[in-house]
Amino acid sequence: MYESHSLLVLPHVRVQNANAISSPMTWGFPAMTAFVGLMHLLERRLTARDVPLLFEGVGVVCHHCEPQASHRGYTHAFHLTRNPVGRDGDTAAIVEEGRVHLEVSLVFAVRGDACAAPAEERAAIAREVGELLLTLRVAGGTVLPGSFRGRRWNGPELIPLDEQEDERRQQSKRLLRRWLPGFALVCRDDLLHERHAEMRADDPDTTLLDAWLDLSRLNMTCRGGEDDGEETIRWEARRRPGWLVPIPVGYGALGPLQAGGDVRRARDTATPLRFVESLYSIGQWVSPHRLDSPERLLWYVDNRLDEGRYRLRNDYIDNAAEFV
Amino acid sequence: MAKTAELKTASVLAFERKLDPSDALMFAGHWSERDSAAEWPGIAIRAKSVRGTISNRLKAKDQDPAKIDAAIHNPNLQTVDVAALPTDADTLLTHFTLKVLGGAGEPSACNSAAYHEKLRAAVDAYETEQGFDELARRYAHNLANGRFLWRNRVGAEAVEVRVSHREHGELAASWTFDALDLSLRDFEPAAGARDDLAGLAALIRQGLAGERLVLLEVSAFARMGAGQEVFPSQELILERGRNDKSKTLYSVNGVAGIHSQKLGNAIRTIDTWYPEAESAGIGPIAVEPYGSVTTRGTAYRQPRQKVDFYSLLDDWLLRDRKPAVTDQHFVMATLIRGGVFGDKAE
Amino acid sequence: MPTGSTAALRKTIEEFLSERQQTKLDRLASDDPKRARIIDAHQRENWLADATRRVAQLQVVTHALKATHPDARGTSLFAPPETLPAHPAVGTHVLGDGAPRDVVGNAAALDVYKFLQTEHDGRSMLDRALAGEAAFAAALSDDPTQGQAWMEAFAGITRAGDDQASHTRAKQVYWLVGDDPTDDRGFHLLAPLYATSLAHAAFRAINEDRFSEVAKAARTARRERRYSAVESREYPKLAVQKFGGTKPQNISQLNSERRGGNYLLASLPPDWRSADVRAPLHTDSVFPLFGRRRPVRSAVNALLRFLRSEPKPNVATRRHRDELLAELTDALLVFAAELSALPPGWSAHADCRLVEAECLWLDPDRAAEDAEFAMRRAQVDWPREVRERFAAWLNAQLQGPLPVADPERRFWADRLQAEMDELEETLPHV
Repeated sequence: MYESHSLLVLPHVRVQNANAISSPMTWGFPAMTAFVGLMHLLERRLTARDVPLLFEGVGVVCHHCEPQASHRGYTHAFHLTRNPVGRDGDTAAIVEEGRVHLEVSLVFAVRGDACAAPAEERAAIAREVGELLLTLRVAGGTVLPGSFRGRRWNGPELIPLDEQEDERRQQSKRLLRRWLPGFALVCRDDLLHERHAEMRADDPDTTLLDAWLDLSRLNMTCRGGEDDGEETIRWEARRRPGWLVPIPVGYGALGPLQAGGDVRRARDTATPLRFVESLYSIGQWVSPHRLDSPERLLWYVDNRLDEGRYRLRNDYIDNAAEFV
Repeated sequence: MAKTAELKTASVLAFERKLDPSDALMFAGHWSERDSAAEWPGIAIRAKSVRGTISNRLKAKDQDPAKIDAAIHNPNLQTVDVAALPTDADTLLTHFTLKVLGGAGEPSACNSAAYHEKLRAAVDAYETEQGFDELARRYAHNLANGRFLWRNRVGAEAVEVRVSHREHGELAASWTFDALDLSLRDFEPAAGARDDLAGLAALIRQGLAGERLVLLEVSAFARMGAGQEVFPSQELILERGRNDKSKTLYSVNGVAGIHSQKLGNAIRTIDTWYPEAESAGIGPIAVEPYGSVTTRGTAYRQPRQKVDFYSLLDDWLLRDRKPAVTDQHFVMATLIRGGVFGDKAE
Repeated sequence: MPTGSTAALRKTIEEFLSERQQTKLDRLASDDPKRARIIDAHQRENWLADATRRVAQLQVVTHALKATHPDARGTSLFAPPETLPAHPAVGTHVLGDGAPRDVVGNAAALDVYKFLQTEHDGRSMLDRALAGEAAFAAALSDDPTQGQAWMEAFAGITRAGDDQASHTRAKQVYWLVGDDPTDDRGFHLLAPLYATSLAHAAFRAINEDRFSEVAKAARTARRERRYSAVESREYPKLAVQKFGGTKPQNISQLNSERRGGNYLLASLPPDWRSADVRAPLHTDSVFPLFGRRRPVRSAVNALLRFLRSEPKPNVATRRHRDELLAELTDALLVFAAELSALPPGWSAHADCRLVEAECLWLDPDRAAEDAEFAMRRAQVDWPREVRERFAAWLNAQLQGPLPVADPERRFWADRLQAEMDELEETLPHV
């Protein structure tokens, strides 16, 4: 885990109709890749406006999440809004797009000359980033005016982190509490592999997919014996503590990188293109005051191009590197 | 002799919408207390059981009178959502925000540099020759006339629309319109509203031209009468189980709402330039690539007449045939609407 | 004449054809003139010659483009697990040899795929074609050149074609590979395809847990509080996304088998605002109310069970217990947040009988309008009192002799103390 220089906080961003389908196998909250993409876009746009900020990671604290879906029998179905009409006037094929309304605080680790500027200038920069965000899409959704306000926040802030260790610790605690109530998404590759190892001890054929599904569901176990009566039988959840969820964490290549222009109908003809699939791991929603520093909730790109792996890393667990 | 390569439509071409409304939320209060609307409570949605009666055409085997009697005794019980003003409130407040973003005509994805260049030249020429005044004027009109209220506007005794513009969190300007005084059929300003409409239109124009970020807050008060039914958006859910609700209304955090798409559709109902505009007798239609109107199941801009968005855009960019000014407005309004317009795969 | 395995393979091929032929003949009257044509078409060499032409209309894939959008046209890929790097994450590579294969293309040519799926000796015709087995080529035709050509034509069913394409409707994302996001050259374009094989493996596993006889029996046992050696599994908030509308076969063969349904597992954060929140009137404490919440009950039970199970005093045990305790305090903070979202001043209601500390804790915004309340909130040490009430409530939940050895009991008490210190410090900020 590296130490950040400054944090840029865009508190209580209200996003309407963000993409709720985060991958071909998960739904409910947009993929972290969408927020990392937003971070890169912010850096590009700010550089174009001569605001010198380098972005190193993004964290998301979710304060509210209202998916546009409801129970249909035993599963959830999405509420659709688009009823497109074709050239004949009849309705065209409907592509199911899940939507979700969010209220999230975005936390960026940043460096650059702007961080050392006087307080007033920093405030102006933070405000400018906030206004810029209003013109962008967040995970495909619209950012509502009226964002950036919460019980303990009154607009975006650019906060230099204290260099003295003790002070920094106090500052971290104060900051983390300002994000309550809410939950931050962190990565738990460790738990996925731990569970896989446990299951393999029982059955060597167990795959990582089995372990992933195991952590994604509610497993009810029966305690007691064959001959026990109703009084002694107990059905209990076999559960790990913590709010664990399946999440996409990036992409794996399906073949070689193709030179720019070699694949037809690419978004541009200069950038090399690769066909990929989503890669999945386990995430955990943690209350921010549980973290020892804001850096714990940051996500950033950490590729292994020699293995065709394009993925995100998060340092909630110090030794996460051994799983990547 | 070398011939210049023929320009083709970019195979990947997409535009983000530049008029970006939030969802609208619905509140209830009293007409005389419009100034304290910030404290009005949200309108909740409640479920109601209704008894469906037999009105569908019966199959021959079901036409036995005894069976019909039996069916009447076994009514088709359904649960539907409804929303209404409480008995002590006579006015519906519908509130939303509208962002007007700059960069109209600038694609969010385009994979042909030559096409992009041609597009930019055409948009620049439009801005210089026409400007966004006409489009802005029509969008402003559709805010002021409360068209976005849809069914909630019908039958209201009075409708007042208040639009305010905030900049850096401060109130920069505001306008109040008597919506029923403004027509849904044309864009002629009522005498009393002329200046206010011009002011609002000027701001929207600046937003589209990218001169400033424009954030509008729109509050529409519709005096409908105490206890009257109101009409939030209906959700479209494909899979319905046997015991599921047959009509689900939209709500956010328990407050009834209108989908942003529905608001966007009303605001861009400015197309009076389609071929049958005179004879169809339905007034302006929403800007759509084929001029399609869902409620009528008709598309008023048919490709065989070469008046749809794709034909006009291709004429303009690929064949150097600049469309008539009114069709230029339509093409620009479609780009402002946004969408994926890349060339169809062969 | 073919010998050994070639003879057996040819027999399998001819059985497939004669069965197919019979099905078609059965649909016709005995004097139908079409009979002769059908019989002719199902002669081995005739059918294979036709099938090797039609096979070009199909592609066997593990990754399909079309699911992403029904109008999307472009490259789909055959990238089975053994061709992919062993990423330490879930992806198609985790599937073993038996990874389900999908097929896209002209549904009218699916009989060719059916033929290729036919097995002999546990190995499909497709696998034999892909491996280039000489015996298979010989079984196709007595003419070695012809047999080889046909085998290669069949093996071509997994090839994507040289002309690779994405689509304007297909997702394409810019991914940073360099150090500087402001440099256009520092990106790759990633074009995600739908991992239909992986989705199918997950679909089967989830359906096994939902609909198999074993799963149903376990669910019934649980409902009736009977014993079952098998776990009962649930996928909370499982969503179904539909591909292809009323024509799932237009997307792919496996999509058709899934009836167009794609399972999505929920990644939702803990949800607390959706609950119908009401002011806690007519009670002197919110803790009983708090304790009745499902997640709270579940965490208390888990903690109780854990403490009673006499776990080995090691790092893992302590971590597990700390996490369970943390879950409870987090739930308390969330509960408080929920109540503080009520319109301020609810604690001033005549029917509110909460002790003062709980009012000061749960109705913070009342301070803005009520000077007296604001003063009390600043003066009274309500965080300490709330902490004590929470600790007392928790102890009551865990009451009864916990068979924990003394050193462990001490450790538990210390941990609880630390957690409560932390809570007390956090409370005024929530």
